[in-house]
Amino acid sequence: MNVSKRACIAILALIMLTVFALGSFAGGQKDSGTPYIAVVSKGEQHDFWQQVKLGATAAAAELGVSMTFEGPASESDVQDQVEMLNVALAKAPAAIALAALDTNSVIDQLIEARNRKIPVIGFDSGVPEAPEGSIYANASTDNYNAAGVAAEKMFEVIGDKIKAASAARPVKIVVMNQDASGESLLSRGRGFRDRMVELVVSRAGLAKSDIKVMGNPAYIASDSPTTGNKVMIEMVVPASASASDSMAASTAVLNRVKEQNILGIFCSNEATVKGLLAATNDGSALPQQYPGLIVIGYDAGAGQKNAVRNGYFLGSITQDPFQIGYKAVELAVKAYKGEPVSDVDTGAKFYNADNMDDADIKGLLYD
Amino acid sequence: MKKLFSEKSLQKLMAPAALVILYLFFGLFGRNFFSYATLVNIFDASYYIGFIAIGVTFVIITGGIDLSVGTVMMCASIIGGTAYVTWGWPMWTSLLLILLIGTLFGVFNGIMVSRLKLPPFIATLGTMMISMGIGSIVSNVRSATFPTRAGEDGWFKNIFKIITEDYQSIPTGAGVLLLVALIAYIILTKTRMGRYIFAIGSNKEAARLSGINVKKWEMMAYVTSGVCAGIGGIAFPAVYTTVMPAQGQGFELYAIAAAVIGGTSLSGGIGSIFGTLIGVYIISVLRSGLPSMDLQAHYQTFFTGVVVISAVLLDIYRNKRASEIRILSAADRYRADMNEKLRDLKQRLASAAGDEAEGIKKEISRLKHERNHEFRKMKREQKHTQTQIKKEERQAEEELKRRLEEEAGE
Repeated sequence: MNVSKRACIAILALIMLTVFALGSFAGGQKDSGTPYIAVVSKGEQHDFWQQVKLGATAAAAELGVSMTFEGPASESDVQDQVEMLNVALAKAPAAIALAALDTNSVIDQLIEARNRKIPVIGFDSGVPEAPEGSIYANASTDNYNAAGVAAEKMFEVIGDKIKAASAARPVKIVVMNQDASGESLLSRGRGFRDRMVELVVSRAGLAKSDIKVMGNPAYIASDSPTTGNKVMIEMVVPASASASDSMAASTAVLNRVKEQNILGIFCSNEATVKGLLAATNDGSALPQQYPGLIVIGYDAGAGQKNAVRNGYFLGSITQDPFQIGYKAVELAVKAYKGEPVSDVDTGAKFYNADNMDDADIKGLLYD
Repeated sequence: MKKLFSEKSLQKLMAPAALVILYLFFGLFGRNFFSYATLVNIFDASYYIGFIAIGVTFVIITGGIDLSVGTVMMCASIIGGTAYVTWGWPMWTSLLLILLIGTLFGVFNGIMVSRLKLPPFIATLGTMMISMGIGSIVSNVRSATFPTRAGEDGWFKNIFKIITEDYQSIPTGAGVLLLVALIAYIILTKTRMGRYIFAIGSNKEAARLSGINVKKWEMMAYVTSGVCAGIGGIAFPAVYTTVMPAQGQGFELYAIAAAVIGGTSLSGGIGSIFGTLIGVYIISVLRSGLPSMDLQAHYQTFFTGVVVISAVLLDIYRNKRASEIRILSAADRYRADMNEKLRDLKQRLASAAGDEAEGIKKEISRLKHERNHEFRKMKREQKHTQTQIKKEERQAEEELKRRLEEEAGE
């Protein structure tokens, strides 16, 4: 009797000891009187999210608030994120910053937050189609402007050729988009298109009626010129986001480069970049088979970084994950204090072989 | 006092005590843990594990194992969601479909284990992969989004949580889980099926020889597990709305862990539904409690592991105690005799009065003194003889060694 009784008590003591040991280093953060911001992200492991976390931590330290940052192990773990948000809400935070994996799953929670007057700040892709009044502001990359930067960089190189375009020998610029439903991707394609149209009109000496925007109808706005015959801007959307479909679409475009006088390709996300790289032997076929073709990518990743470093790409656009995290916490603190908040553009940067190792760019490029 | 903490009840109390201690601990150290909102969170996180844990308890009691519960649950759930979203089925038929798919997988497991004699581990491992595959195939690897609360057909969420107009949450799912547990409890303890399942788990061959239809009742355990997975498949989207394809791997381990924490023996024949329920809530409290201490959710995996090992250690001790054979020494026998005598005296004391009682009292204290004194003396002697024996043994050993060395020397 004694042996097993003692064993029971010993086991219980063991459990308690481990739990207490843990408590002693974790419990210290609470009740310090500082406002508490709960950050629930889409992930935690990728370099991109690590940068977001660094930014959030820096903002929390600067503003003197306590902050927790957590995200599910993978972007398909919707259930984990819902539980994280549940726990965050139960902890009665001053404010919450959220990058939702799936808005439908967190609607109850958002309504609860709104009802309890807990400000919710969206970051990264934010919380699209959230219930009205629940999201106070967003800290995200303005995709429209970021893609505009790509248009400017591309125009700097191909501007002269565009000036020389004629009805007999029109030029074409291709924009590869992943799909026609995600708002962030839609605005990238549109941002590039609109900026390019603007540049052609203001700096290449052509009229708006000389331009023709063609391709996927989701990317053709009502005010887009569609009747021109000198400069074509083609919006391409692969059949699906899968690598093979992206590659097939890229191959189809590349086959027409000479025939249609394609000057530049803008790939608006990592998936389309990967498709293009797969179609060109990791980019090494670009300078040989398609001399003069200008390619600009978006985001980072090992393959894309390599293509930029070797000069296969003119460069790429990268978001600024550190700023996304920093601004998210900053907005959350402002909202908690009752100050008016509005959406913040966390900015985007253009990188190429020359500046990709600079201190302020290096950290933004994940593998 | 002695009765209250008898060994058996102490062990039965361990798991509930651990649950209460954990809850109080997180209450003290967690941020805002003692709140209604946290309680609702604990309930929310307990449903899907709870249902499959109840189901898997049946299977484990038969001495088998069901590794497929988690993926079957998610497979049923995503097919039901696809039926609702893509095929345009009405909500209630979609929910029935979820139950049906869970049950069918249970029947499939049952046939493989009871009729085709596949080892349960292998059979259900296969089902785990099959169900994950089927879910992805039918849904075309697309997530299924069930209606939100405000949407049309959002009523099904009210089965597990009602949010009133002034935004109060009522965790109705806790009632559903308790009801299912109650039904399972009645089946397991008050019906023939329950008795036979325990009998099969204790000794399959003996059960067969005593005329129990082993095939039938073993199969029924797996079917019960499937039905429970189906109920879990309804609970999951009610709480989390969106079901992703190819999920559910790992849930079965939480379910099995919950059963084991609750005192169900993996070798079969022992187990209780309410123990399992306590195990489920321990896991659920860890899941909500550790993040409230600003520890991330994956710490719960670690601590669930610690709790599981503690529970199994306890199980081993319990079994060891039950099967232990004790040899009484002379001292033990003497004490038992004396205790017997004392008991008799005490009984006489109860009915005696006046001088007689005084005499008996004196006799009792004298006997107690004598007993303690003698017992200690005998123990001492016993110890002494034992050390003596050990000493002699050692000497004999050394003698032997010496001789062997001598022989080797020659």
